[in-house]
Amino acid sequence: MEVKTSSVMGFLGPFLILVLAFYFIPVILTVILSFTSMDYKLSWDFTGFTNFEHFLTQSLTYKVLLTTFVYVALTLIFNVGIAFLLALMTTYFTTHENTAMFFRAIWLLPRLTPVVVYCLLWMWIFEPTQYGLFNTILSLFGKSSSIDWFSSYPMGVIVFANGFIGASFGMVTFSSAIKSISRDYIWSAQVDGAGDWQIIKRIIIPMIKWEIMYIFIWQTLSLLNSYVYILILTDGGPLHETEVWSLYAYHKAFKYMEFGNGAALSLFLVIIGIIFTFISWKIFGFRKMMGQEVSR
Amino acid sequence: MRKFGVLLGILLIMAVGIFAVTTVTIKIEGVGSPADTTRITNFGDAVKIANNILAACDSPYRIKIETTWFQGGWDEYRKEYILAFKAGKEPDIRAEGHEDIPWMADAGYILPLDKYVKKYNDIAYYDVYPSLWDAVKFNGKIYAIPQDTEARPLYFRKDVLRKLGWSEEKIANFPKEIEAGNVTLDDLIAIAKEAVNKGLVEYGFLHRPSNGGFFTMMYYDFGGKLFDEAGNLIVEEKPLLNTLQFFKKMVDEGVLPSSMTNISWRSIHKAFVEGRSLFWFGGTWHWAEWQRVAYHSKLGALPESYEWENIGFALNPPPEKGGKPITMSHPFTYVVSSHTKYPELVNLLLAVVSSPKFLVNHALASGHLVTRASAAIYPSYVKNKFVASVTPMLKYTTVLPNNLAFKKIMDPLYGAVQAVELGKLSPEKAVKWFEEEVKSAIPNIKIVK
Repeated sequence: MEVKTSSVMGFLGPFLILVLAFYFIPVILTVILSFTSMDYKLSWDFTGFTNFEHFLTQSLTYKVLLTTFVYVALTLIFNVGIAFLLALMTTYFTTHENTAMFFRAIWLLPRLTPVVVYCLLWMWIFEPTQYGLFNTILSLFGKSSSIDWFSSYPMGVIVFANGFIGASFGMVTFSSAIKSISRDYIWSAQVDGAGDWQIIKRIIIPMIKWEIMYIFIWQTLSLLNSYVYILILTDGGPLHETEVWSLYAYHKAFKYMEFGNGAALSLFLVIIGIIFTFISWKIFGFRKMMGQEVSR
Repeated sequence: MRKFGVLLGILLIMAVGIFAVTTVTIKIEGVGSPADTTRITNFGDAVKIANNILAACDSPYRIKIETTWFQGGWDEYRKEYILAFKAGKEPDIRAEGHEDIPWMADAGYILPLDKYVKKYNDIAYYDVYPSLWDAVKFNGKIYAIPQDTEARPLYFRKDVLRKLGWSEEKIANFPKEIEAGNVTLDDLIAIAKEAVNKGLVEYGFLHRPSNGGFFTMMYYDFGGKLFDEAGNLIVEEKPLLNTLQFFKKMVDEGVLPSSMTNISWRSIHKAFVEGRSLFWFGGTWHWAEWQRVAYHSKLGALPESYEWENIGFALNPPPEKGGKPITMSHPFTYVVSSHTKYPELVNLLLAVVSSPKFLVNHALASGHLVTRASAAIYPSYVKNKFVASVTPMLKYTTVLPNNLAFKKIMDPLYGAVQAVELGKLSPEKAVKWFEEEVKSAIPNIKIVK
């Protein structure tokens, strides 16, 4: 059937405008802004590569880069891992659909909770006094002194808080992907004597490879840009131990009102994101997978 | 016919008189804790007085106000103003912390008010405390009208001191002894240690868990300066080291929790009002807050009688005997948009709202202090035992500097205190870390060795 160009544009047009207005133009503006010394006066004074030279000569920049890498890697392992486990539990291991749905709905609750409220809950959980939830639990097991979670394990705190809320997104995607696998494959494998581990390893994981790649890339890009939970929980401290790149850019732009500097830092993040996406496509064999999808 | 013509003429004149009055809208925005809303609600009555003045002067203008109470963080408050200003939708009058004046003035967002301060001096500004005018100046010009001020006292638990064997007389004289320079910070640590060791309290001291003026005040207390004689921003290494050593000593002596900066505000207030901490480096507004917020697990919000019975307050002691005690104010101010179409009316309104009646109304509702000497002798203010007791502290007050780059010193200072308390850095290493951070943010800053 021949598709008219006007029909295509009619359907795509509104979305193209949205993408242009809210994605493409902001990126262009960020690029331009990063070459200015814009501050609280909001004036476009072009300063060439000064902003880039400035942050490349700061030792803090490299510390922040390392922190970002550790944070993204740990949170990714945590939330993709938990998401996959939850999806398996509520699809493969739970046969009663209502129970599975109830369980998944509980995990989605933090998504419905305002960010500040969610962070307040974590602050209470990690409170360094005996009134904190974790410290209360530990005291029940005979531990008399309270642990200062925020200073002893600051990275753990932000990985936990971000990982738990992030897991629900992967859980929903993985659940639907697993449920769409024909049960014939699983029954055949069971008839042949395959155990649960073999079924997960040889059937489920290969068949949801596309979804795993999608969640992996999506979550990595989200985590590279995420700072709100960290801002509220630790504000990057202590001693910049939880200062990730996007929070660093936020602090520059909105705490010190150095918008040019903040844009230069954000631009670096855009470049990292693009490079990462291409590497991931290579690793997961994106072209090959696309071919499979088409031939299916 | 002639009579009809005269009548018509009179009616016309009356109509012109009526319709010649133009009502202009002045937008006002405020910020602060829920107890601070009088910062803008005061304008509700002030506008009536201003309109009466305008009517009495046969002015063709009347004022109508639109008020907004901002709820959010300071960064958002700043960001909101910049964007609103660029869109031409900013308020005419805005309540601001005095430390925001430099960037707002530098960018031309706010009006210099010298000529209006001069104009209304004899009725509204002649007796504003001089230190408050210093707090609202930038490059020698006045950019804001002081709205309130406060002191940061050292609160102490009288009931705990009684259990330590102190007589009522000794407790009553404690603030005077501090004011006379007979009690040092080390003496406080010794008292706190005794109380902790005897199991009377869980904590000897508690201080704010987030960045704020308190840490700069302690740097001042150890003799630190932030400007040289030429007016350049400086940091003095020795007072900074002494300040950090003081925080380290409190932790080492077991009188301050090392996790101090990670404890929630609620837990801190709860611990102090329940008598589980001997000292609290707080602010005058906390006295009012404890009466409004149910921090105490049994009493809920504290009755003021309970506060007088069990809680005392004093200046912050000097580090050495004979030294001068200290406190700090963070004056709130009203700034005026440089876009305002009605600077005369806006300034008339500000002069009215700066009258003692409104200043006292705000002070009593919020636990802040008034900005004018005539308000400090206002009957209801004098009758209020607490504000009358803390107002003399203003003799020892200091303020944060009005400097564009100061925030870049304040943040590393807080970071250094936090690192020392957590045991992540020694005071000496924290000084080095602080210097690296500050030099990176303000390359031309002078560090005085």
